[in-house]
Amino acid sequence: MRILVIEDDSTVSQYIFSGLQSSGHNVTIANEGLKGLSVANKETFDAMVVDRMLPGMDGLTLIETIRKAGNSTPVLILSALSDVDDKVQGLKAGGDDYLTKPFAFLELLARIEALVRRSSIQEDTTSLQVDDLYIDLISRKVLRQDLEVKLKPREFQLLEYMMRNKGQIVTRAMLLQAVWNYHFDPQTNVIDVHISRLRQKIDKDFSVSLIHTVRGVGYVLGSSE
Amino acid sequence: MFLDLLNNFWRSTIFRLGLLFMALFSVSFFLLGWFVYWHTLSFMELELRSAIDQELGRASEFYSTNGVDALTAEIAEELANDPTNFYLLLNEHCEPVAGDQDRLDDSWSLEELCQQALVQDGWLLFELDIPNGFRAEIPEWDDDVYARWSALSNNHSLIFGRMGGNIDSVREVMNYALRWGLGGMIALAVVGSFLMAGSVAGRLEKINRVSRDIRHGDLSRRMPQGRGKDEFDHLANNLNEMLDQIESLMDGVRSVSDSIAHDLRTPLTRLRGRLEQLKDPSQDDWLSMVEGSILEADQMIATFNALLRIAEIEAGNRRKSLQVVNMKSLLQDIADLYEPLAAEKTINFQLRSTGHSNVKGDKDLLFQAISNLVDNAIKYVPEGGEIKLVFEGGPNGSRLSVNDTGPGIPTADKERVFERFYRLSEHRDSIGNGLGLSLVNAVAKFHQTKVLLEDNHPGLNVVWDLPHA
Repeated sequence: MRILVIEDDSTVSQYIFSGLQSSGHNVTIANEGLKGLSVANKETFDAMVVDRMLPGMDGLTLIETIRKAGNSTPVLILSALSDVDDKVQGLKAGGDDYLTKPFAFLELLARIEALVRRSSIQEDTTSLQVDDLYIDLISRKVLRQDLEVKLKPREFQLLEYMMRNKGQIVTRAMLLQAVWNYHFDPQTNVIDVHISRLRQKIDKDFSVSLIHTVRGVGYVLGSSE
Repeated sequence: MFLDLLNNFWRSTIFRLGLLFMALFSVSFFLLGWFVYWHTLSFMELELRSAIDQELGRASEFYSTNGVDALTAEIAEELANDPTNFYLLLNEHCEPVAGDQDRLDDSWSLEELCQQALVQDGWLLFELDIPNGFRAEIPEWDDDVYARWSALSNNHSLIFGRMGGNIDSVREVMNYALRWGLGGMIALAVVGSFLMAGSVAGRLEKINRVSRDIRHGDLSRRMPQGRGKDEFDHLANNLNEMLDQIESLMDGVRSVSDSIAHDLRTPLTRLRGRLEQLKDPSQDDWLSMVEGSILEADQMIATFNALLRIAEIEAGNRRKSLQVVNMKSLLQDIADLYEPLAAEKTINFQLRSTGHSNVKGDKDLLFQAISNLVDNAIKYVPEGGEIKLVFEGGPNGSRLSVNDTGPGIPTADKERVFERFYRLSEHRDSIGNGLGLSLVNAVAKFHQTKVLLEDNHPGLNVVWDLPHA
């Protein structure tokens, strides 16, 4: 993927650059708002990472400008501000996701990949399939090896989100945000218990496990490691 | 020196107000005095004039029944009795027939009197000499005579006069009283204004001196309180209460920064130690040590985030985001989130909500606070215990309670658990940063409510009354 990173702090941009490059992505760095805008206008990218506070032109204005120009490249906003209002502002300006500094690189990577996938998946999908796991989004039916699995509504939402991001890491924060639509920080890893319940129903009676834990980061749904 | 002092007084509002009042008062005093003076004198004059008219009437009657000679004799008798009366009988040529024209002052001639009598309806005002024997009885200034000319027949006319008596003395006395009264009042008012300004300036100066001390860093100083309950005492009282509030806030900030320094030094020291060990990459558990370091850093970040969040909530900047929140669905979401965690610990978790479900609040903050309470309950309730999340919506307000069968909180610690980083001694080693309840408290304050910690016998019952939407 071609990714444009607009970030003025050279340590952070180097950290993102080396991480994304070693994951096989093609990264362009701009260390200033106006420079970032001209690069974004000239070339096409699969995703952009934009810092909120930039010299030259601030991140939100930059995003608004490219959105007005008809550019719909998915944008992840980086910010040192954690205020919920700031998040809302960022998303209103045309950002697709918001990540607060400091962050773990894997969280950033997972979110970028999820953004890109989300923009490429057609919204009118009615069913999802991973290996021998099949879910019907209309009737809310879940089948594993043609056997019906009964899921509670929240479990179904979790599974749907993981299947839409199959093979990619989804972090606990991403799952909480997707399934419980509140901006909050849980005190404990409460989401882990939900995943373990889901595992009981999806994986326990089958030889191949589909839900895998990525230590310290989150989960991946897929047939193999 | 003196001019400076005067200048200071002139700048004093109280002093100037005092002077203004003095001026207003003097004007009204003067008007009143003048009114009394004028009325008293005109009344006395009126009385005198009517007495004169009466005597003239009597004399005219006597003349028409007894004739000129009898009247002349009568006049001589009267004059001998009372020298304050004045009789002058004239013929048609304005020549004296009887009476005491000799007592007329030198400056008055009879012709003049007769002419004046024609102009002023017969009324005359002139001066008389007073016979020596009577000098003592009549004060010097009372030699004015009020008199009237009246025709008795074609041949004779009579001027009867009476000395002004005490009209002039009253005038003098009143003038005197008015002048001295006014003077005394002005003097008193000036002195009073000085004293008032001095006393007010003194009290204000005390307050100013304390404010200066406080500005120079001595926050323990308080405004002096008088014995009374006047405006200055109210002011001092209010200022003192404000200073108490400021001092307690500053203490709060100080204790928070102390706690931050203390509570973050420990993980930072651990992290530093780990990194030092990592200098040697040949160790077997190198990778797990790296992971441990990252975890340590993550926990510090989480602590900082929680602190910032609390500060942000306490700043109250988000008050604009208050909206109607459906508590039933919010609590259902919380129950959905935490029920598996409780079940894993074989804790019986129940949600019961009744009545109106709408409250006015911030959805995200309420979710955060209630999830902290439930999280705490799950953490501390032993296996096999019970947690009840109860919501009772009423028309005037709603009550939320989270009650559990855990160890509860000792009464002595009930206020302190809301402080940042405060943890019960028996839980110091368990996971957590001591900020969960501080955040709940901040959210409650944000909604202008209070979270109460009650005993559940056994366990804890957290009660939170929320405003109705």
